Amino acid sequence: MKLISFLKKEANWIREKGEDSDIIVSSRIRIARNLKNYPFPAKAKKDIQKKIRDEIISKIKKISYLKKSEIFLIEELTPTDKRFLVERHLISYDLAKSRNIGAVVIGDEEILSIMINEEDHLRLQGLNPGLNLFDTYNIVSVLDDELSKVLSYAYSEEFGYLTSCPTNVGTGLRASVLLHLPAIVKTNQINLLLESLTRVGMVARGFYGEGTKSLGDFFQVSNQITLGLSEREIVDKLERVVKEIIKKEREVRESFYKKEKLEVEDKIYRSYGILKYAVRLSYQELMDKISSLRMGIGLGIKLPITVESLNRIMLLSQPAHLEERLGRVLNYTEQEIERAKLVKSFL
Amino acid sequence: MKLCDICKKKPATVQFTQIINNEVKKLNLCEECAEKMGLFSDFFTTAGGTLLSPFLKGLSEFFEEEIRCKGCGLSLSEFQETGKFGCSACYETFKTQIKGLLKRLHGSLTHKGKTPKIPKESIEDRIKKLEEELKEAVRKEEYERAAVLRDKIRELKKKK
Repeated sequence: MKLISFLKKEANWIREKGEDSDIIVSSRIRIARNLKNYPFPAKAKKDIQKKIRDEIISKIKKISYLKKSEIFLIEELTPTDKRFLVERHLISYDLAKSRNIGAVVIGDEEILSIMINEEDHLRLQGLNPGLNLFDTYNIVSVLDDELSKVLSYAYSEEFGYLTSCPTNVGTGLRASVLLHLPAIVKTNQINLLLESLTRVGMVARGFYGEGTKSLGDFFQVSNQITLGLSEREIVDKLERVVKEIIKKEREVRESFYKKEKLEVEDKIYRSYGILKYAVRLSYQELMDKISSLRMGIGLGIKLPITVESLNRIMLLSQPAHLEERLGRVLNYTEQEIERAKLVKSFL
Repeated sequence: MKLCDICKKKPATVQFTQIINNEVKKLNLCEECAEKMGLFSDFFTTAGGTLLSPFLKGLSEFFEEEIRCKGCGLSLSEFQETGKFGCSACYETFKTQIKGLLKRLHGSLTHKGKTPKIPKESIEDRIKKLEEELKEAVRKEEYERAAVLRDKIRELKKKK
């Protein structure tokens, strides 16, 4: 377990930023790129994968603002380490599970990160708190430009940047926003929302991204279309959709609160009580309670906690984070006990 | 009268042309066999990674030799299984086959976003390459594509 140093640092995205910080957690940009002269990772033999990784890392090391970044080779990480990075949104589940000769490069404050040899040779990521898609896109795009001067990208005038999966071809851009939508879930309107998202070329995924379930009413909303639109258009469209969703969530919250004031307040304060006094806590239960408290703060209910501390609790009490902190693997009961202790220390 | 290439019994009333690796292959089919190959149904009725349609499967069976990518050896049926390409050359190899899929996924077939920043000296080469593509597009009467290429050439010339 070599990632303990990360526990002492704060991930930039947990900060509370912007007027809708109770609903929007973070904005993320991901750009997929491949090198022209090599097969995509899945079709590349191990020695070729290594060559690709070496070439990319040697180029990254020359970029001045990535000088301070940390580089981890996937095969040198323990299962806990890998899970830890997934929990921090720095690598995907797929890369954690994969036997590819991969790596992850993590920039200062975890704003920029680069996955090497996941599904594509390169996955550049930018992650920031609040609704901040344009700035985040810009920093990732600058990095992409730098790299394109020293690496030959697989690019066609017709189809744009070529990716392993045709769902990413063109811009290779996936922009996403992590949203907290408890009122829409509570009033059974989430399926309606998911359907209408599909109609406008967007999709909502679970907490840890593709193929994961929703936890604590958090959803990642992202674009599905990557070809035929410019990067600006994609980002702009997502931003407009997200603003609509926020408006809707606020409306539903207000009317729900007006109608069921007693019920809502009781649930929120009980949630606080459970987090403060529970002796064991599953992550699922914790996320349910965090969901209530977060909505409570958004409704203006007086609570002795901030959105930022809720973000911090959410991050630090994930299984691999607990293990990394204690320096050992925990069984399920130990996890629940350690989680309850940790949460208590924040309240 | 021509008989169906598949059942060799009924008269061929449907003609189908397919270009594979720059080779034109023609099939003369009776309505029944064409139907069996799914020729009348929507090519890509299933969304997402699979463009596996009875039609394409039927075709590759008929031609026996499967189309394989020269870059990585990936075959069309392998792609249909995983939904993932093996290398960047696959896009060229399976160009005809994936157009329907791309259109379904993205509603478009042409990239509109940014381009790689390349060292200045190779801009000349890029322009030359694009001009050749433009000629080709005009020759094939693909005017929409030609317009896109023309704009790209203009843009590159500005950068010079």
